Amino acid sequence: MSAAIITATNITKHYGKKLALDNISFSLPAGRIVGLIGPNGSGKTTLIKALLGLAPFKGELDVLGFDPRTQRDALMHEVSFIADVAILPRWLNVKNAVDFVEGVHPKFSRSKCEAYIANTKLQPNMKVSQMSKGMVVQLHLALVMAIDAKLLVLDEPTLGLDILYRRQFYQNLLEDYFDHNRTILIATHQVEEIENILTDLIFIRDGKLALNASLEEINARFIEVQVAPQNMEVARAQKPIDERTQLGKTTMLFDGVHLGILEKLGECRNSNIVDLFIATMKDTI
Amino acid sequence: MNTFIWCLRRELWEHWTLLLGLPVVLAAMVTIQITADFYFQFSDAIVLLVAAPAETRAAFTLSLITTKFAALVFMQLALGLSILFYGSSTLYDDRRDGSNFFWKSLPLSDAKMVGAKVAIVLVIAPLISIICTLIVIGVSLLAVGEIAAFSGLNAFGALFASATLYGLIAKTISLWPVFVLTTLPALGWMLAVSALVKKRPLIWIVGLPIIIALPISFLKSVVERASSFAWVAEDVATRLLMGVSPGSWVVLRPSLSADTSSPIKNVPGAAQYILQGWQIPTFADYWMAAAIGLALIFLAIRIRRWRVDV
Repeated sequence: MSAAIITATNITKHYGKKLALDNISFSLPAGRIVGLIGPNGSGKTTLIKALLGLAPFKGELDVLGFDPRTQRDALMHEVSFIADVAILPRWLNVKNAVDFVEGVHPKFSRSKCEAYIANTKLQPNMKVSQMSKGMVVQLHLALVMAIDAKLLVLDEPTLGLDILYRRQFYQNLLEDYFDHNRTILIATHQVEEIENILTDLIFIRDGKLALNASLEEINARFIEVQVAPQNMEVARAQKPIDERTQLGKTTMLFDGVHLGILEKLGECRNSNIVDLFIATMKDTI
Repeated sequence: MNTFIWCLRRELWEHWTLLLGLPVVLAAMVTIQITADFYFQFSDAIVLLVAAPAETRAAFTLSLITTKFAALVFMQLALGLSILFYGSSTLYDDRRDGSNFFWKSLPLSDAKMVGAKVAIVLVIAPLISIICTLIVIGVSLLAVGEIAAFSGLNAFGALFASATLYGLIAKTISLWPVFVLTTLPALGWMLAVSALVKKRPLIWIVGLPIIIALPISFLKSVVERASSFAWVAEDVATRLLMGVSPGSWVVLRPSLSADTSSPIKNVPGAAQYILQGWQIPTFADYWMAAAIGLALIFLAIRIRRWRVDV
């Protein structure tokens, strides 16, 4: 495994009296696609703002060898991001946007950007104010993917887009951008649309990390069992983290229980991320 | 190309109507007004000038030139307005529409982004204003010459060979550093407020100095002891509000001594006081205010560092 690109140690952040990040520590290796997943208000955006040097905090944070609080300008040469509320300015047109980013970013490839734009309906003289929301995101993504960054951070990038644009967004990201020298961190609460592309998962809840594991680890740890009716009591004794009954069939989710034990209780399968998310977050609402 | 130049271009893309459109439209209007004015007042009298003594003709030519510099007042009012709207909204608008996240995702320091906005106000906007002013004066003098030519008087030589004309043009251009000096406090104030407030930056920028200064100013007329305190409040409020317009020194220093030695005394009205701006740097208070303005600009850069949205 390659060296960590993000190392966070005891990150704490208060907004007034409210604790937004509660002593968070983690590290991320390079070449991963990490889902940062949590309900609204769980601290996702605060954590991302800390990583990008957009909000002060307590604790130690190393992003690509830089402290985002004091070395932000250097860090921004290596990091790209699309923030959740970020929009491109309404008065900007496609041509000027490409010219500007080419002018100010040494790692921007004009030909790559133009190739992405050629696959869309964007025209050089089209202003952001004339574009649909989906087109604005296409332009933003074309600009960002043409930057040779080591870390790409996306905060709710597809919020408010229809399914066609959302699907295409992640497809472009995976096929044209991602490689094993880059890391992509995607914060979202729409778990279902990214679960197929992630390599790692971080669940955040009430400012604390509820889970931080790779998909392989998760598949080994979390197993869902459709429990046969006669095994209910035995199954509950293994302390499932979630139990739900649908059409008379009971499904339980187990964390770290040996497969040999679970196979005797009923039909086993890997848990999907949505079920895992619901099991982890169910009592936050 | 230098990234700073790109930051300047980005400001011009966003604000070209305010920074370029407004002065150009106003310049066209002032040119037409001056020319029409001349035509209706003097086109008949010019015939008489042909036979008039040389001294009378020279005096008339001089007045034709100097009156054109009245255009300064209009152009600089326009400059003040565009700077006020630009300076009060620029850092705020980036935060309000979320585009600040886009700018901040690029390797551009806060100093560079705010520096570009400072350069727009201190260099680009006054440059556009001076060029427009000179075009107004040049075009309206050409029109005057053309109208005179209809009456059989060749005035082009007298008008465009006049040392007075070029002396006043040089004076107009040379006022730029004075403009920088008087604009710094207002600019710093606008940028700092624009970087900080949650809504309505223009109201804060204009309202706060007035709300503080007005009651104190009123108190002065009631309580005698309050007068020096009131002077400070009024003075600070005036500098923060008026500085955006070159020639604001007319308001701040009504006692500027008349410059009787030069053709300036023939320039009508407020424009005469504007052209006396070079007396301003001899007063220490302008330098102190400018230093405070600089400090406010650095404060705006610091605020922009952490204040990303509204």
